[in-house]
Amino acid sequence: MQLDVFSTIALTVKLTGIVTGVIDAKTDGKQHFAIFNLKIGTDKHRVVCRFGTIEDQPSVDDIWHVTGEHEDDQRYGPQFIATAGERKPIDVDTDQTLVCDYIQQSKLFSGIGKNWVEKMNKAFPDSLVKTLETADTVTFIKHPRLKMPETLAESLLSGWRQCSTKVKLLKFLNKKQIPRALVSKLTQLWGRQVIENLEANPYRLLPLMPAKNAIDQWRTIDKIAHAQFSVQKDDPRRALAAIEACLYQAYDTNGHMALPIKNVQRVLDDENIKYTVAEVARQHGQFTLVIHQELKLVQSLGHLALEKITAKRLNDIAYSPDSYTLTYHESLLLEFIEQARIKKQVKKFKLDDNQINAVKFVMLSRLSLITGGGGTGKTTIITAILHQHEARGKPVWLLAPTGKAARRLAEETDHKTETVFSFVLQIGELIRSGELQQTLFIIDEASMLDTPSIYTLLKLLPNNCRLCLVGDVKKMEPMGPGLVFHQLANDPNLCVNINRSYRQDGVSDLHKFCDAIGRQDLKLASAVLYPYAKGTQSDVTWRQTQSSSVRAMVKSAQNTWYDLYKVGKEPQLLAATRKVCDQINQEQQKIRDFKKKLPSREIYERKFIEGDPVIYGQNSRELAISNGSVGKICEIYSNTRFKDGRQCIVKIEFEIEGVKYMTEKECLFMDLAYCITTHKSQGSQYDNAIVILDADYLIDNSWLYTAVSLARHKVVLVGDLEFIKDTINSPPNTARRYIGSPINIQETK
Amino acid sequence: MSKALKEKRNVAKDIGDERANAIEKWLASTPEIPLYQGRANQAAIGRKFSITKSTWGSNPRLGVLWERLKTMVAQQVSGSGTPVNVSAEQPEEVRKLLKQKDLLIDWLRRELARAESKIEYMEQDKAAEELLILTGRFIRHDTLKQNSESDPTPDFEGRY
Repeated sequence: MQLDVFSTIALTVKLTGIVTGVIDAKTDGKQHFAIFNLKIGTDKHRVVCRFGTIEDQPSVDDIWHVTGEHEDDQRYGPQFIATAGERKPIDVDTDQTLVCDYIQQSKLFSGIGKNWVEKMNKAFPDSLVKTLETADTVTFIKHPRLKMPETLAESLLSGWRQCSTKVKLLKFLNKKQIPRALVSKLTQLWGRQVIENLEANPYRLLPLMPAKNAIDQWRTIDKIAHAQFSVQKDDPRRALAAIEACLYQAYDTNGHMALPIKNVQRVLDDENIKYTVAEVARQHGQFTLVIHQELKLVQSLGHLALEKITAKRLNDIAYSPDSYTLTYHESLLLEFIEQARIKKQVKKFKLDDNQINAVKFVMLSRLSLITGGGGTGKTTIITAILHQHEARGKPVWLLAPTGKAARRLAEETDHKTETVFSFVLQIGELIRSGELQQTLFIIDEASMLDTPSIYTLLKLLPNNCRLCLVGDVKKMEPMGPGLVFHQLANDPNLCVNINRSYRQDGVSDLHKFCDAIGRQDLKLASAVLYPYAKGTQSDVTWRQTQSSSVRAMVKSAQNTWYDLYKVGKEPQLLAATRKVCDQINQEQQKIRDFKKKLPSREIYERKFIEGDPVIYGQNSRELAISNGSVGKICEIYSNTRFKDGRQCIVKIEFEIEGVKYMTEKECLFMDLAYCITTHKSQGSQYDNAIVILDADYLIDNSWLYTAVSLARHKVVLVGDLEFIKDTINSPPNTARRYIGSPINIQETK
Repeated sequence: MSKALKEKRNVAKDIGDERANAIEKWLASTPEIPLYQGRANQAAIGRKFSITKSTWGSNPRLGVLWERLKTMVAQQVSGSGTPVNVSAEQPEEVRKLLKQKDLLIDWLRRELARAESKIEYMEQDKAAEELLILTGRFIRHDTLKQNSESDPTPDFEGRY
């Protein structure tokens, strides 16, 4: 007898079932990846859809059809590797067994369990979907084989209505070739009226598209509108959406809250749109656009709402009739000075007149600002104000825009400090417990607060609170859109400026240089700026690069870093562009990992190694970490680990937030932090810093001022000397940010 | 069939007819029909005219009269606006209370529908606010839905 060789060949299989759980789902913005459980009858399959196989992400209770092969994975056991997959709408052609399973499974049909589903299957063989589409509750109540109670029949039909609305919407989006990933956003915003809204104006999709390259997004929607909704080239809705796209793009990329009409008109002309901005805004954009005639600016209604509500809330706080009165007590200030002297272990300690005036000013104001450069004693003033309030039992909250700034303030004041983001997360509970009544809120580094952040905070603060914003008006504009602190700082009735520096006795070259940039004093700046030389003792030096290429800058910066590292002065690298940051990060990582083979992992095509410094680039409610939080990778897992029901791949110790376990999806917003942008590093302080002047279009006076002010002892500028001089002389970027409705704090009568 | 049995049957039929005549006469006087849970109370009428449950079922004339009684009661109840579960024998106070309860149930149903639509509106409002904070983009989610917030709310007796 002869034995044949037995071989197995994987066969392509098609499966259609209900999604009972989504194990993992991620997207890179265009393509999707998902692992989910699919139930078919009594069988369950673990389905893996890799990038490029599916058009949108599954959610629980969806019906999905997948094509692929069964595979036995060593780690996960049997799973189904899909080569293609799509969400299937329920309609009359859907297999009734699947429909029954769906009704039994879905949360939409409360009270309808297995028994009722079986009864319905028998009562309406092959016609259940049709019956659900057309019949009323009486049909189910009176059917002799069902005799369903009225409440259950109502629940059944209400669930079906919701389900069929979603199905109709999916079919509509498919038919009109609109990205299906927008389903949940559309439903959240317009409920059952999505189709009517889009039929009325397909350009209503624009605000829901990803907040990046809005003009490109407009072009995509324009094609859909023309092909699927027969929108003509001269349709005013088209022009209106193009204007909105310009405004969105300026908001997302440059933080403008409005744009000059002529700039927007140029875009309309480039797109061959035969309308003027004023014409469109006047005739068709009354619910979307605002024209500021005097400023010759056009603004989106959303941006105006952010500005107006922020201004209104600031006015509410400044002039609230419910606010409490508080006086300045000199005895309390003297008490504070004595306590501070003992703490600092010095023989003599006092506040100068300007600083005392700042304390008095804040004590007597409901809304106040303190501005001043580094080392001028802002934190000391905050501590003095804290003392005045707490001695009289009045609560004070200290806030800062970033984790680093919050930690620094907490260390220096010995008072609990929160980031604005984490405070907003817990504010609901605080409002309910009445803890925020008659409270003073002091926000440090307030120049970093963008309009949406301050809008969110102000909407939640009670009118009878007090607000004090502390910052440096010479620093660059916030990373996000708008300009609140810089605007308010122009109002002499609100703002007190302190200008005498006490850092390093007020005479260090670093301080002089920083001060000179702030005052655009090139002569003074040049006097303290020396050429870089290995082992130099100068505080401020510049290193000329061989050329202005990125490569040359990176090389010079790394050589400088190595020089300082060798003498125990490890500096932080700062740059203007992400491109330079990425390049330096990769090279620094290679140097650290050289011949060590530390545990590592590729996450979204970026390599992370144990021990890497990282920075998080998004506010995350789930992880309770804020944008700009810095930490170090403690552990990288080769196999995912379950932490709090999530499949985590890394353990990171953040400087402020402590240890966090993160999933692969959450790591999407994580970057290496060997080199970070000056924007992201705001609120931090480093002993030594290397500042790379790598992009003339991004660097201006306030950028250089911000970068240099981050260093405590030593700064090395890497770039061309002439460019450094031009930058010192340049106007601050904040002057170039467009504001539609300037904030005006005045009592209304 | 024996003669005695035949006579016995005739007597039963006569008794049934006699009772039927009495009910016809009673109905002609537009009486207040005893009710139980909004329907004609067969037991109470039976006691009034000494009709047993079996006589109601065996005598064809009584069967027809019972159907007539049911129709009359149904017309009476639907025309009067009296709550369905009110018996004529119940005191006025209880009748009022039950009527009020029916009104309250109707009002609660309306309120539930209103609250559900308000939740939907608030959820849309929240989604629009989140979009505004995240992207600065403003959506008029109520472009097609008017007056949802300004609808006056009636009290449970239907007054606005």
